[in-house]
Amino acid sequence: MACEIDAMWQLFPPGPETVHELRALHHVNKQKVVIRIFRGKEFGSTDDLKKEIVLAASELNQLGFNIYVNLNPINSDFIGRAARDKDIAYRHLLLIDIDRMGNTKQPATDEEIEKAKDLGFAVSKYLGNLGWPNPIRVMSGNGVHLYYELSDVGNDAASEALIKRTLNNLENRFKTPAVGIDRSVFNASRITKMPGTIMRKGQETEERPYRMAVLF
Amino acid sequence: MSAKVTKTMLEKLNESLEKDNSKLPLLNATNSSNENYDEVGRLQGALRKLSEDVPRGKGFIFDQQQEVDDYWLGVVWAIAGLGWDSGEEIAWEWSRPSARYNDEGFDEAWSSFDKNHRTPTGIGSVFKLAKLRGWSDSPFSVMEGYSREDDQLKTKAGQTDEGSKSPLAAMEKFSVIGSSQQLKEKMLADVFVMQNIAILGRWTTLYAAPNTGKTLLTLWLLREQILAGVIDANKVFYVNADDTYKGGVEKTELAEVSGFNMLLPSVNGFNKNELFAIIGDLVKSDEANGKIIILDTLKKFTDIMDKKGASDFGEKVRNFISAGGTLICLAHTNKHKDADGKSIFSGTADIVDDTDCAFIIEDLGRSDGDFGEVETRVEFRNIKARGDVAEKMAFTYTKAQGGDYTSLFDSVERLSERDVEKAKQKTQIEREHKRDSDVIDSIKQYIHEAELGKTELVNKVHEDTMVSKSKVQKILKRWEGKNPEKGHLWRCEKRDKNLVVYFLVKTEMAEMVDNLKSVAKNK
Repeated sequence: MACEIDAMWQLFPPGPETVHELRALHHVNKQKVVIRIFRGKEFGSTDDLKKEIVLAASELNQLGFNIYVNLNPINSDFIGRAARDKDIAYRHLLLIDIDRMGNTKQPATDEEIEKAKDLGFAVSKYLGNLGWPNPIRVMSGNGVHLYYELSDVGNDAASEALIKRTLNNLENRFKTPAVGIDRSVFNASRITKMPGTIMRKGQETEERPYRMAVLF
Repeated sequence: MSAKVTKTMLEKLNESLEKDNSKLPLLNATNSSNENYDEVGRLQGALRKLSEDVPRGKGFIFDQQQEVDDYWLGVVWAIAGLGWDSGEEIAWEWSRPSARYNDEGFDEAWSSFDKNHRTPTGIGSVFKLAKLRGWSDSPFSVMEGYSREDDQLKTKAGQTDEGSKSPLAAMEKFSVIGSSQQLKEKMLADVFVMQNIAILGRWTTLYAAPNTGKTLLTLWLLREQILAGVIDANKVFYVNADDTYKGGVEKTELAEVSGFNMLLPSVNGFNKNELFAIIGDLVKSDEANGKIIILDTLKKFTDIMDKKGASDFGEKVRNFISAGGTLICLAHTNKHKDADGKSIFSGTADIVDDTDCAFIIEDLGRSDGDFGEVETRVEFRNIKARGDVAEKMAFTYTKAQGGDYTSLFDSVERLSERDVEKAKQKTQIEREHKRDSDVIDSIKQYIHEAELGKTELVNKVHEDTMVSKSKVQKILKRWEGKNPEKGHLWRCEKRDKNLVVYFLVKTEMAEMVDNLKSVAKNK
């Protein structure tokens, strides 16, 4: 799990001025939502901040909550319970979320995960040919996330349109009847699964187990 | 991740993808079959003509050239025989609405396919059976549940009949006697566009007060039927004419995911005032059949307070319905309620008179959660029915603080009758809590601060709120117990010398948060 946590800090770098939102959604009772805000300035060191976030995530995850974090950095002067689009400082990451089509209310099978990984490799290879860097690849529990670090992309309407257009085009180009790319993850305050935590949805079976979100 | 993706790189990618809009040939990457979008769509279209709710059978679709009734396994094996990556998903999607369906049975059937069988059931048999059930092997074949004949339904009025001018002859020329077969073919089966609420080929009107969730629930119910394959998303046109720009965008995102059409006024040149002219053209060109139009909200298309306007609107709608169209109107209730406290429709009675089916969506109550989320419970109550629709149906949805429309959408759940009863009780309890809130808040505050005996507690609350001691005692007694579901707020324990002290009853969530805090503190 250590490498997942390292990857997480690479994806969502903490610091004295950063604000991190941990959103925990209970996998059975959808009405149970726990939101914890961590402000770097309230901790003695970045290590303390990291420790508290990991501790809270781990405890809530053990209690049956799925753990999500913000894809993009929250403004340091954020006040409120949960970050909204207006609270995002800039766009730090492009998330390409690859998931199976059809019934997604139960955990994925290994075969479905493999298909998502195949598509993930196909997409990153295609983008690599266009000069894009290698993404951080995360098996999200039931699908695949590709994270690309962005440069000079702010949080404004034009950027949102650009990200939306990109995801639409990728989906149109790469989707298959079995797996596709989620076009809805374009908003600035999008939350994403926290690597190193277990994702639970629906009924777990031998063929459809709950899985930890891990790097691959 | 040292290298970064710039705006320019994103732009270049989009240009490249938009220029070259070919698909990645992944569909055929792992097998050499003809699995492509056209063939997948063709198979799914054929399956829509076959009932999935048939006995399992022995793996045949035809026996000695005769179709068999128990063809389910035959169809599943025929799909498995294609060797498509998407085959299992297609077979599962087709099978699962059946009452006979279960995961184990499906998995067993799918994995029992023997590709080396000497006389395998081929996919041709599936297409053959579908054709016998009315499937048309053309890219323009229509959705299940009804037939679209090229021949326009003709009444005698449509035929040239200039010879007779008598009133009786005029009546006779409109008679449809002799056209029953054509009428039957045109008639749509009872297919639910919204489960147990709106039927294909009917006009349904849903009334609700603002912010009751009528748009949310309509979108959710439509998506449910689209996902179940009951209605064809391409034929659904949601006219979102009563929303903010942001709201329009949020709902368009949902429509994109579900695949149905969303029309927003002034976007892409759409003018809502021209909608009925377009619908009229659909009727004239016989393209209305099977189209499902949702008007959100009705007041944007007609003046419901004006009898003449409402009546004209009804006439236009009736033409559309007669041509096989389906209309769902969302409308507001009157701000006043009836003598029983129930909502009533707004406007003149003409719309309710003309519509086939009407429901009032009643707000059963709202509850605040421990983390700022608000749970809303609503009930659809039928006030007019033509067709086998439900008398009542209830739903719940939860708005998380800071949550977006998608999370609100995902929170929608059906409520059983028992749940509705519980919800009503909960609403009643919350109402009573609210009524006594001054005293309740004061009692809670004192219990939280110190262990007080009953008399001392009553005295302090009385001093604090100026409410009589007898009433404070009554409220203290009313909400005493251990069950938060019954509205209990505090429990009491007897101590020495008959001293009674009170403790607050915590919700499950509050208990959990406290536990978390103490665990974190101990570490």
